[in-house]
Amino acid sequence: MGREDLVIALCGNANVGKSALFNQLTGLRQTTGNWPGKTVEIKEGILYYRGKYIKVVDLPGIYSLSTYSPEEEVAEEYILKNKPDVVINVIDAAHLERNLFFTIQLLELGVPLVVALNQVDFAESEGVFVDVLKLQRLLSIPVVPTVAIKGKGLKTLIDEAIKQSEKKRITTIEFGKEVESRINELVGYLPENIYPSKRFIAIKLLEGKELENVADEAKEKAKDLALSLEKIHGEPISFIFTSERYSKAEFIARETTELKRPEKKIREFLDSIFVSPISGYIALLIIFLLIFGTVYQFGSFIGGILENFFTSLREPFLALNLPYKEFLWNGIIEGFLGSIYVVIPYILPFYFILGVLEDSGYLARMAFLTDSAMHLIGLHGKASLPLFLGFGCNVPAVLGSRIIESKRERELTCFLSTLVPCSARTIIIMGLVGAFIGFKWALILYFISLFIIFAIGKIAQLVYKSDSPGLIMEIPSIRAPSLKMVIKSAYFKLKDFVVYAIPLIVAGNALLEILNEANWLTPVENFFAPLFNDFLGLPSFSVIPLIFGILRKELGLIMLAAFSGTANFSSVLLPRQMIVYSIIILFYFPCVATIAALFKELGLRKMVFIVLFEIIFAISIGALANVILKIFML
Amino acid sequence: MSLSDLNEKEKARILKIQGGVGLIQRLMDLGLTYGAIVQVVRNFGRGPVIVSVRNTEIALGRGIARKIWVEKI
Repeated sequence: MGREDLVIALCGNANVGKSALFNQLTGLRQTTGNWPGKTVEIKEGILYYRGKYIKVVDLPGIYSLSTYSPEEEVAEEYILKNKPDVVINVIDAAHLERNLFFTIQLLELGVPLVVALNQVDFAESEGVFVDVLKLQRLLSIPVVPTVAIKGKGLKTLIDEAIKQSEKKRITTIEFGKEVESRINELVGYLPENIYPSKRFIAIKLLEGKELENVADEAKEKAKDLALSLEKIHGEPISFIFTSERYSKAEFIARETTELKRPEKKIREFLDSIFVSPISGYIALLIIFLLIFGTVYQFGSFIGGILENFFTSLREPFLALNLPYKEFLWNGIIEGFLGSIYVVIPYILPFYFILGVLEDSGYLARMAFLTDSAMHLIGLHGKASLPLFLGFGCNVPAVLGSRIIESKRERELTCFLSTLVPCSARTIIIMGLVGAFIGFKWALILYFISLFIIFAIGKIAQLVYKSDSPGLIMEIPSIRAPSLKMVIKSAYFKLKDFVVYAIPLIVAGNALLEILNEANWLTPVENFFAPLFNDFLGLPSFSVIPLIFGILRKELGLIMLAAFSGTANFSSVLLPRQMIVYSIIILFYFPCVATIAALFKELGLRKMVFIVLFEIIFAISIGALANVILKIFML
Repeated sequence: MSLSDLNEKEKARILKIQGGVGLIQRLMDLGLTYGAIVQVVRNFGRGPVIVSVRNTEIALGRGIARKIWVEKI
C-alpha cells in the first residue's frame, strides 16, 4: 500500500485477546498474508484515526523471542526488518507474570513500545487487581488498561501509541549483576550506530545467536563471556537469560498485583465437569454428538431450502434470450450455486461452532482429553480438532492443522484429515449404500474408513518418526464466548475458504462441462472402462460420475443417477458394486477444494504425493473389496 | 521424583529438566524455569497432566512431565 502514515505492530502471547483488539481496530478490512518462506500468517488492516492512515499488523501469538519456533522467528524478523513505528504489546492482566516475561524481551529490542493491559475486567473477576501506574513506572513505558472485546480503552491506547512512535526512547531493564557486567563489557566491542541498539545486539550475541554485520572480535568476546557465565551457573546460557527475565517479571508482577478472593467458583465448577476422568469424556461425547446433530440438522434443512430455490431459478434462466445459456447454466452458474450449497449449510455452522469452542477455552480442554487417544496414531491432542473438523469438511480440517507446531504432525494430520468421511461422503454412503442395501452396511463402511485412518496413522508413525516430544499447551480460563468475536472469526474463516475454493470448483465445473459438450468424456470412459470392469467389477457408466466427484464428492452420486439414467440404483447396480463404488468415492481423491488447501499448506510435492497415494490406495482397496464381496455376496 | 508422580493439588519446585535444549527452552519460556514453583491441577494417573505455574495453567504430555524433575514442598 505504502500510503499509510504509521505502522503499528501488535505482539503478545496466545489467548490474550490480541485478535479481538486487532478486529476492533481494523474492522472487516483485513488481509492475511504468509511471511515469505514460512507457513506463518501475518494479518494486516487499516485504521483511519484522527486524520491518519494507520497500518495495523497482527503478529503471531508467541510466548518468547527465543526463536525456537517459526512464529517466534517471524515476529522477531518482522520487528527488526520492517521496523514498525511502534509496537503494542498486548498482555493479559490475569496472567501478568508470564506476559511480562515477553514484555521484557520486547523492551530489550529497544523499539517504541506501548503495553495494552487487556482483559482487566476478566482479571478482576478472577481476583487479580493490577496497579497500572506502578506498572507503568516499573516498565517506564505507557501502560493502557483495555477490554478489547468491548472496545474499552482503545482510543487512549492508539493515542499513546502515536505519541510513543514520535519519541526516541531506550528503556533498559537491568539483569542481575553477573549478567549485566558482561553485557556492558561486550557493548564496548560494538560500533556506535548498530540497529536496533548495542545492548540488544550484545544480549543476542551472548545468547549465542549467529549475527551478520558483527566483527569477529565481538563474536569471540561474546563466546568467552558466555562460557564464563555458563561455568558459574552450570547451565546453558539461554537458560540463564530466561531465568533472569523471569525473575524480573516475577518481581514486577509481585509489586503491581493484588490478589483478592476470586469469584471464580463457577469456572472451577465447570472445569471439575469438563476436565475430569469420567464426566470429562461423557461431556466430550455429548458435545461431539450435539455438534454433529446440529450441523446435519441445520445442513439438511437449509440445504433443502437452497436446493429448491436454486432449482426454481433454472427454468426462468433458460427462458431468457441469451447466447450459450445452457452452457452458462450448466457450466458456470451450477458450479457456483453448487459450492454455495456446501458452504452455507455445512461449512458455515462448523466455523461458527469452532469459534465458540475456541473462544470459550474448551478447545484446549478437548486437546487435553484426547491426547492419549491421538497417541495411538502417532499424534498429540492438538490434532484432534482438525480431524474432528474433517467430518464436516476436509478443507477447514487441512487449514486447521496449522495450530500444530511440529511439522511432521502437521503434515500427518493434513494427510489423515483428507481421509475423514466428510459430510459429502456421508451423503453418498447414506444415499447409496444406506438407502439401497441397508443402514447396517452404511455403518460398516463408516467404521472401515475410521479403521483405515487409524491404520494409516499407525503405519505413518513407523515410517515417519516423531519429531515432537509431546503436548505443550496453555489451558486458558474457561469463559462465556463473545458472540461478536465468534461471528467475526467465522466470517474471516469463511472468507478464506470462499476466496480459495469457489473459483476452483467453478472452473473445474466449467472445464468438465466443456469436455462433456465436446464429447471428449466418452474416450475417457472407454479408456478407464477395462480397469473398472475387470478390476473393480463396476459398469462403464460409473467412470464419468467418479470424475465429476473430484469437484465435489456428492456429485459422484448425483451424476451417477444422470449417467445410469435412474435414481433407483438397485435396478442398475448390484449391492457389491454399490459398496465398491462408495469405497472408491471415500478414498480415491480429495476433492478440488481440499487439494487446493493441501497445496496451500504443504506445497506441490506433498500434495501430489497424497493425491497419487490415495488414487492407488482407493483402487487397491476397491479391487480387494470386489474380490472379497464376490465370495460372500453377488 | 518427576512431575508426573505428583498428585493433584500437590506443590513442588522444579530442579532439572531432561531433554534437548529446544524442549527445555520452550518449557522455560512458558514459565517452567529451574526453581519455579508448580502445582499439579490435573493428573489422571495416565495421559497428560495440567500444572499451574506463575498463575497460568499448562497442559503437558505425560512423556514431558516425566522428564521434569521436582522436589515436593
